Amino acid sequence: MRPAQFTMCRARTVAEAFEAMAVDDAKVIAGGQSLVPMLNFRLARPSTLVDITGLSSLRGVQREGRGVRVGGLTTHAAIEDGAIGGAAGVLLSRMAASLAYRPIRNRGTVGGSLSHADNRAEWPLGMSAVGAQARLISASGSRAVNVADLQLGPFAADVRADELLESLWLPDRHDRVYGYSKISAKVGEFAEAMAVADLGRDAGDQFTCWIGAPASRVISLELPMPRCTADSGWLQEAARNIQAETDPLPAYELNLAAVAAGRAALDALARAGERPEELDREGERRDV
Amino acid sequence: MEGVVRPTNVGARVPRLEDARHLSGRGRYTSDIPSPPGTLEVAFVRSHLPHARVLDVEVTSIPAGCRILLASDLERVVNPIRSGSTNPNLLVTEQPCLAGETVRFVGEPVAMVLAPDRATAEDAVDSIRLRLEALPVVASAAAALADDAPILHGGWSSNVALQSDREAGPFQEQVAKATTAVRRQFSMARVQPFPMEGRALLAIPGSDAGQLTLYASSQRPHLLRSFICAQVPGLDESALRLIAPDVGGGFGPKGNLYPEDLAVVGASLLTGHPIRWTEDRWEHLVASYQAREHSYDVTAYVDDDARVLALEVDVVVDGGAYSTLPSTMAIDASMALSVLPGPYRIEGYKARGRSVATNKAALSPFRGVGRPNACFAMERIMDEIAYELGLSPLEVRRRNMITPDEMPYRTVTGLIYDSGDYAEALEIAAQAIEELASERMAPEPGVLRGVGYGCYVEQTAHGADEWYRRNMNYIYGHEVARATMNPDGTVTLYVASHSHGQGHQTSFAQIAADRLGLDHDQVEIRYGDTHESPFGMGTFASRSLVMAGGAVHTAAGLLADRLREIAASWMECRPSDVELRNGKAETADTAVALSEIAFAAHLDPGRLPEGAEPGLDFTGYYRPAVGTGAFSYATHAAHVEVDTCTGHVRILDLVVAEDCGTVVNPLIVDGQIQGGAAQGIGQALFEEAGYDAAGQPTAAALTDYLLPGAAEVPSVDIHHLNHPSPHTYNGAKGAGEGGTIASPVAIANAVRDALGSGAPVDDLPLRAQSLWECLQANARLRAVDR
Repeated sequence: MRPAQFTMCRARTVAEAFEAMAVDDAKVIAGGQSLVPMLNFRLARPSTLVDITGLSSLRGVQREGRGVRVGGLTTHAAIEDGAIGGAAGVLLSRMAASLAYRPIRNRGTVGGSLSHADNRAEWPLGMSAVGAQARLISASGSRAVNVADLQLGPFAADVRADELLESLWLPDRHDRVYGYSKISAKVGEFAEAMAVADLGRDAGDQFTCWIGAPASRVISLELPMPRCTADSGWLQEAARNIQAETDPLPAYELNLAAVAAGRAALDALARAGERPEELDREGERRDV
Repeated sequence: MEGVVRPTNVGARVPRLEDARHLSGRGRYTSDIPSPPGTLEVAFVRSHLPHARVLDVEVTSIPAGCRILLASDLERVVNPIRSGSTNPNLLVTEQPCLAGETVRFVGEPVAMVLAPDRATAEDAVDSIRLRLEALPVVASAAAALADDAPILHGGWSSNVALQSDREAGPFQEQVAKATTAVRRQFSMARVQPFPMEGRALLAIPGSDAGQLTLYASSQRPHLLRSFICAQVPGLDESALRLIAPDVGGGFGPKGNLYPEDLAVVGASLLTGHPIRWTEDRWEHLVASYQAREHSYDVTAYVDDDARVLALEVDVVVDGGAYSTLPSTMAIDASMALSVLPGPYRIEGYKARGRSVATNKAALSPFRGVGRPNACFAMERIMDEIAYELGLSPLEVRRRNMITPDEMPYRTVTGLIYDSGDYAEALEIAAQAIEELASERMAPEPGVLRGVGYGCYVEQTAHGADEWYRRNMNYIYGHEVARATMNPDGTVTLYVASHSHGQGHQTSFAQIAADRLGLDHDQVEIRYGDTHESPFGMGTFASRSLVMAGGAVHTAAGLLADRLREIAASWMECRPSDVELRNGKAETADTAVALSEIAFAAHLDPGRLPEGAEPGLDFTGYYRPAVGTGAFSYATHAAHVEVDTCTGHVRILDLVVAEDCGTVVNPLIVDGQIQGGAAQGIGQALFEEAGYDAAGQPTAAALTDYLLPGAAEVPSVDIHHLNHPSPHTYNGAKGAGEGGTIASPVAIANAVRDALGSGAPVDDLPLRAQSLWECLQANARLRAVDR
């Protein structure tokens, strides 16, 4: 389990990085939490590894317009610790806390995870749900892509070999309440199913549900509000609606997606300070 | 000095002395031993096919400084492993350390590359192409037993290495008396024992010709030395120094010989270079010894009072490609058939056991050795008897348990239970789990809860009788310790029982300190180096506290006797008037420091009594008065909840009520139970070293092999009973393996309790998807009923 030989380039500037990335079979490395195992198994055999962790322009979190710009090198741990504010920041912090283990979170980066595009991972889902936009840069310029459109499928992102995910821009959404649910075989594993619920601005009996795993790419759909975690009628209805939006899924996986969706919704409701019965009675949600 | 209670000695709950080293990163494992100049590192070329003829090892170009060794090279210095027993019916496998003609599992080593560093060695492996001609694959025990199965080993007439049939007690009469027969099938998945440290070797040629030092991550350095020397003509045990430094867990597999051990020794002999090999996780997952793949067909013959009159069982063990040395692939079935009746009074017994060869990594003993499987089958069937007869699982157990007044009790399989109150453990566990369950808030909607039990009796610290009974070529009848008092009065004990998590440095010191009137931290325990300690067996079979502890007790006792004799000669009293206390030899009115006696014994012999031997160095041996074992037992109780929406199982509470006799250090015993339970939870819910129908391993990386983590393992509620063994020096019984024996079945029975009849809990690990599908089907049935 030692990598095949490669040339290591520790880029000090973005230009240096682009130059190194121009070599055939070059591969960008940031936190390395997915790439290094692949290197060790010799599943990835890049000729050159371009280490971008020294690029200061890819670091940091700051206000920009009516939102916040998050550097691609921001670690999962930084997000867990509250680097991003607002309702989105709370959601993303909770998602980060469920992502693998702290030693992995200390190194892994949000840009790396999105570029790696594992459909079972947290950030394709989380960043889609909060409306994040990725800025991709290359020697020939830059472009912006909604994270919801960035992931093409499992391990396939709309990031060209000559591009770096420089940063994300997250719009302010102070009026939102998010809920989250991750179902995994054990703590720290990739998700079997994962969902984010967005109660929207004026939640009624519907919510917007974003689903990651087991879908091959993030999907979103409107679902009615469930009454409890084990509402079998609701689960079956939700499963049908989810299936309509994604590749055919086995019954159990589809069920897990529906369960995650329902739990994310109830989580959001609890965070909004309301119980399902109250919602049912009042028919509306108090703003927080 | 018996009976002197010191705050830190026998019975005291003191932290382990070795923890400071391990917790601060100062442990020294084989991979921490510096490489001498000229060291070459090994990367093995391993088979990618489960069964094939080796046509050629094609080498186009390899990096400079690399050397390749093939089977034909190693054959010149190392003999193939032929593991057998004194049972002539056991078929023997022949495993060369590198496969030259046939490979029989994915991961089997075919060639080895030696290079200045591991990465270069792996580059060379990359450039080597194995030309293999695929042979028909035997990917399961069922396939191995099929009439037209390809036969894996030359000279065998089937794939069954050993079949044993036995009928014991008045089986037919008992069956005739029964009114109900309950029959079920059970299985456990193959798992990885998974020590944190994988295998590691460093062979260093000595400065004199023919000498070799081998560092190895081993549970039993002396025996490994014997195993290796028996395979390497001309390598004498006196010339091989085997050092097992800190070892990061063993659990059984590290007590057996591996082909890689021989390959590394052979490479060093052939090249004259120091040779290092450190197993990586992929190698560990595909080529280290695996465990526990058994299937059972059990019938319990029961009367109207729910008494189990007779048992009939057919056990098949998937032994993998080769018999490990010295355990052989027959050890699991032999153990399972022997222990199946557990704590119950069962008089009729009919059993068949078959150990079969398949194209998988070899099976080896793993903590519990067949007992977790047998216990799973027995304790599941006890629950099914209860459900069939409309009784509670507790009640059925109560009615069948052997009582204390029946001790010693000879089981239908010939074990002689020595002590204990099995029902007491059951009642304590039942009460504890009910209390814990009652303290919890009501479950969320959609969550079902259940409680389950598992009971076992475990033969531990068996002496020679048991190993002869198992037809072993090596009989582990005793253990040894050497006690030395140094000239300054400090004490060093050399033992052959290695410690890799068992806390021997602490518990043995507690035992010796009591004998010598010292505190436990004044006694140094050394192990792991065949040049330091006398020949002994090592650590396995829940034997160290009894066997090596007994040897420590004996050796320290001999030393104490001599100290008292010398002191008595100075004080002009009888040795029996002298008490060793607080570093002194004392009588009622006078005292002398042990350091003064020690100095005289070594360096001032004129002060010794007339005719007394100089020196203070005593070797003590221990073998229990009875060689049939000291029998620990326990009831494990699990309280679980099943998420009906996902089928996921969460363990809420786990209780262990156990009796390991006299407890030397309760903190260490608790740790052993907690760790064993974690492995039981893994077996019950997560772990599976699977193979697909083509014989390819399905868990070749940790992403596919789930181990329970801190979040999945509750803190075990532990209750100690104390019925000392009449056969051991201090009443102790072994405690190392018990935690892993009954926890899997307690969890499965708890899930059965939660879900009701039809719950798919007869095959471990439990599968969330199967549980969910069962719940869905039940829900549909209820809907139809309405």
